[in-house]
Parts: sequence; C-alpha cells; structure tokens
Amino acid sequence: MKRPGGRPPLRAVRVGVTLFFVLYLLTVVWPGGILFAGPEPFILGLPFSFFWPTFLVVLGFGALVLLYWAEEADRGHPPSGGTGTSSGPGGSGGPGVSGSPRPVQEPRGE
Amino acid sequence: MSDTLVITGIIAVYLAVTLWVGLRGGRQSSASVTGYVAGDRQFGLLVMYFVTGATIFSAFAFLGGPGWAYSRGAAAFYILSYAVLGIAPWYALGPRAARVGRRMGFVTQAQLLVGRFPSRELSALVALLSVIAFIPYITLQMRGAGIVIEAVTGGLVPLWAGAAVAYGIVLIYVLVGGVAAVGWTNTLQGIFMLTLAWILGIYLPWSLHGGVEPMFREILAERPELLAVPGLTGGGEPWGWGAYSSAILVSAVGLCMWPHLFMKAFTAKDERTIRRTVVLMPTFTLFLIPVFLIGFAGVMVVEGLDQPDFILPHLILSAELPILLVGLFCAGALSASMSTGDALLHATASVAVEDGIRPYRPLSEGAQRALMRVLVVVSGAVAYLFALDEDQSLVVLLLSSYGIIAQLAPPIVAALYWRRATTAGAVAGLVAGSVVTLSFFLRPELSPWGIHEGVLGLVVHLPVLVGVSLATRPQPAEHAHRFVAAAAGKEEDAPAAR
Repeated sequence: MKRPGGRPPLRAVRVGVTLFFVLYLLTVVWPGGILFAGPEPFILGLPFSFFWPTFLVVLGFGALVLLYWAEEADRGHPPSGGTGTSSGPGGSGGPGVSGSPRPVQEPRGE
Repeated sequence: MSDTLVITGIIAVYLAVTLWVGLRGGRQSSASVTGYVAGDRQFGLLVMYFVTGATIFSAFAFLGGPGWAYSRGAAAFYILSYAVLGIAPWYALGPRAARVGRRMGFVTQAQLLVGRFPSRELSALVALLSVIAFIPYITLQMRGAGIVIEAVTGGLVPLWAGAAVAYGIVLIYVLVGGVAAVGWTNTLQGIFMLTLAWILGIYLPWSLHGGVEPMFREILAERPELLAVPGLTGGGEPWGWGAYSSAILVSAVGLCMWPHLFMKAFTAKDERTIRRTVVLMPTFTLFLIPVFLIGFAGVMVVEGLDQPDFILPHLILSAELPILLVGLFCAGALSASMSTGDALLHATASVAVEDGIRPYRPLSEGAQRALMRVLVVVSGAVAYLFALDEDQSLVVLLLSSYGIIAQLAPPIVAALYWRRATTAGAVAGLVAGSVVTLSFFLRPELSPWGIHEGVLGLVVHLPVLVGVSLATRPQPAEHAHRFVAAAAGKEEDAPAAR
C-alpha cells in the first residue's frame, strides 16, 4: 500500500541500495580495488587503504538505515527517532536523514 | 609479578561469574528439544543484538584481526569489507527464512533445505559439511582463549592448558543451559568487549607513537608494504589480489550461511527484529577499527613475535595501564572466544543430531538431548585436538572454514527464490562444489591467482545446480510454489496439514 507524497518509492530505494552494495564490492576487490589500495592520502589520520574500507562500512550502515526506514514507511509505520538504541560509532543520526517532507501521519503505538 | 597475579585473578573471577550466569540463565529455558535448540522463540532485540554481535565477534576479530594487521598489514582490511557485504543479503534472506520457518516449524537450516528439497541425504550432507566447517572455527576460539591466558599469566599457564580450562567451563554451561544460557552470557560479554575495545584502541597508538597518524607515518616510512592493499602473506611476501579478493567474496557469501547465525532467523521474535539486527551489524564491524589500530601499534615496537596472534594481549600487558583495565580487557578478549565458542559447540551438536541423525533414526526427546550433550563433548574434544597444533593463524583457520560454508548459499537461495530448482540439482551442486573446494584446499598450489578454494567451488557449484535442476523433472508445482510464496510472505495457498 503506497502513500503518495515526496518520499522515494520503496522499489527505487531497494534498487539503489542493491546498486550501492555492488559498487561497494567493485571498489574493494580486483580490479577496482587497485584504485583504492594505496596508503596516501591520509584521511582522518588513517592511510587511505584503511580509510576507504572503513568509510564504506559507515556508508553501508547508512544505506541499510535508509532501506529500513523506507520499508517501515511503506508499511505505514512512520520512522521514529532512530531504532530505539543509542547510536553507536558511525551512526547516521536521527530522523530527517532522507530529507523529504512527510505528510502528517497518525501516531502508531509500538 | 604481582601485576600478573592481579590480572590472573581478574580473569579467574570473570570465568567464575560467567559460569554462574550461564548456569543461572539455563534454568529458564524449557526442557523440550525445541527449547534447547530454539530458545522458545522469545528473544528480544537487545539480546538478539548482543548475541549476534558477540557470536560474530570472536577470537578471530579480537586476536586474529590485529595479528594480521601486525604481521600482514593491509591484508587485514578484507575483514572490514566482507563483514558488511556479507550481512547485507541477510536483510532479504533472513525474513524469508523466518517466514518459512514459522510456517513449517523449522529449527535448523537443513530442515529448511529439506523442506524444499526432500532428501535425507541432503540433510545428512548439510550436517556433515556444517560440522566440518564448525571444527576449525571452534579450534580458533580455543586457541584464542589459550592465547589470552598464556599471555596474561606470562607463560605460566601454556596455551593448551588455558584453552582446556576455559573450554571446560564453556562445556559445563552449554551442557546445562542450552540456548538461553548462551544468550545471557553473551549479553554480559558483549558489553565488556564493546566498551573496552575503543578505549584501548585509541590509547595504545597514542602512548606508543604519539597518535594514530604519527603511527601510520612511521609505518609508511619504515615498512610501506604493510599499508598497501593487499598487504603481505604470512611469510612476509606480497599477497595477491586474487587471494585477497576471493577471501572477501567467499567470506561475504558464507557469512549468513553459518548455521548458528542462520538459525537465528528461527528464534527471532519477528522479522523486524531480524532487519534491525542487519542494519545494526555494521556498527559491530566498526569495532574492528580500534583492534586493528592496536595491531598496527605493535609494528614498530614489537620485534619478531613468534606468533602474531599474540600481539594484542602482548601489547596490552606491556603498556603502562591500570591493572583493572588490562584485566577487564583480557577478560573481554577471552569472552569473545568463549561466547562464540559456546554457540558453535551448541550449533554443531544440534545440527549433527537434528539433521544428521534424526532423519534416519527417530529418537525420543530425552534421547535427543542426551545425544546432543554427547556430541557437544565430542566436537569440543576434536576441535581441541586440532587446537594443539602450533603455528596456526586464527584468521587462516576461519578462512578455511568459509570455503565449505559458502557452498550452502546456492541451495539456500535456490530454495527460497527459485521454483525451478530441484532436489537433484541442489544435491548435485552441493556435492560438486564441496568436492572442488576440498580438492583445492588440499592442493592450493593448483589454484589460479591464489583464488580461494571456496570461490572455485562456487564456480562449479552454480552451473551444476542450475544445469541439473533444469535437466531434471520440476518439483510438483504446488510444492515449489507454496514454499517460495511462503518465503515471500504471500498467502497463495492454504498450507497443507503436516
């Protein structure tokens, strides 16, 4: 049951997230990985070869959060502030990450 | 010397508390086999998070990871990538498995496969492969426990003895408690690990090198080969892209296929819990950052350590740190191995009995539980014997297991998604893939570009699965369609009475 509004459709999010993970894979294995394999430049104190896979973990977390929220919204559950646990390192923040305006929704008990 | 005594005391207290919690937790589970295997299906998100994280985060990550960072440099980074790439598919697979599991009462992975591909032989084969893959995984946990205890006691308690003590305790609470005990002890241990890893991972580079960046600048100046992917082999030679890439691939494909992780689909409270766990998993992967930093911190400081897997406890113990912190951290590293080890022992026995024996010989519930207990002890003993072999890398042990475990992915995916898959195709693919994997495992020099034997197995497995399925008669439409529809959450037909 889809809601009209400014939110990207679930299918687009699913495709996008899947594509993201395919690209992820391509940048860490041969041959794409060669581009991200060198120690320079240093970012946040880490050699690039360490920074890149780390950064991908954070992006991967973000992609999964996005997917989860898109699915929850599609089911009619408005996304709450995070998933109820305290945000660990690399947490992508509270609601509003996706940025699009939402129609007013009935509160749902959890 | 008194420092050693204090830290040893902390470890001893920690072991005693763990045993107590495990014994206490055990009394809450029901006596039925379902209770023993599936924890009565009442696990909330919190326990699920820590249980999943703690069972994934083990001696492999805490000791093996830094060991590779220290001796092989950027080679360790493959772990970061496979951890996330491997868990992402579970977002779709986990709920599917949970749906069919709930509908048809599965408690093990093999039951799901046999539910779709009826065959006792398939069940036994899956059980056999699972047990074969579990043993090195348990072995590395035992070695990990032995490493921590040997390091903490300054060599007074050698690896083989420390491993025996730690796993004696694990055996006791697994035999008594079952899955509920595992949940409670893992929650406790998970909190230890997660809290202390970051503190020490930032502190050690700072105290030894003046900071993370200065540390890496030093390494870049003196040993630049450690900072370029794919890093080095165990012997110090440059590692190859074929091996590095295939390590990521085989581990990512295999990650959700571990029976003890897969089975969690059947114990989760609901599908939402599964999805939430997947989403949160990358946060666990980030805990590898500080432990890798600890490994790198040792590069310029510790010369020629006999076994690189000792680097983390070695550095922690030789740094000028409050004894309590050191003790708790070592207890955390110990707990990482024990928490995964207890889940693995339990899973090994469950799979062997449920999937290897029961399809052939019906057993009473009491006999099943007794047999499981016997198998816990037996598999523990076998794994322990392998653990006595010196000079084994913890990471290499797990990588070896992945070749076999990854072979479970094609039939699982086919069962849940592909209506045209047949039992013959599933069995043929699994046999072909496993034979190829085993062959290249025994003769690694034959592998092109150093590609992992599990990937070569998959390269053969997939065409055989597809080809034999298409060449054999399709499964009865109602059966295959109903199964896949149930997995997809669509109520196409009423479920047949069991």
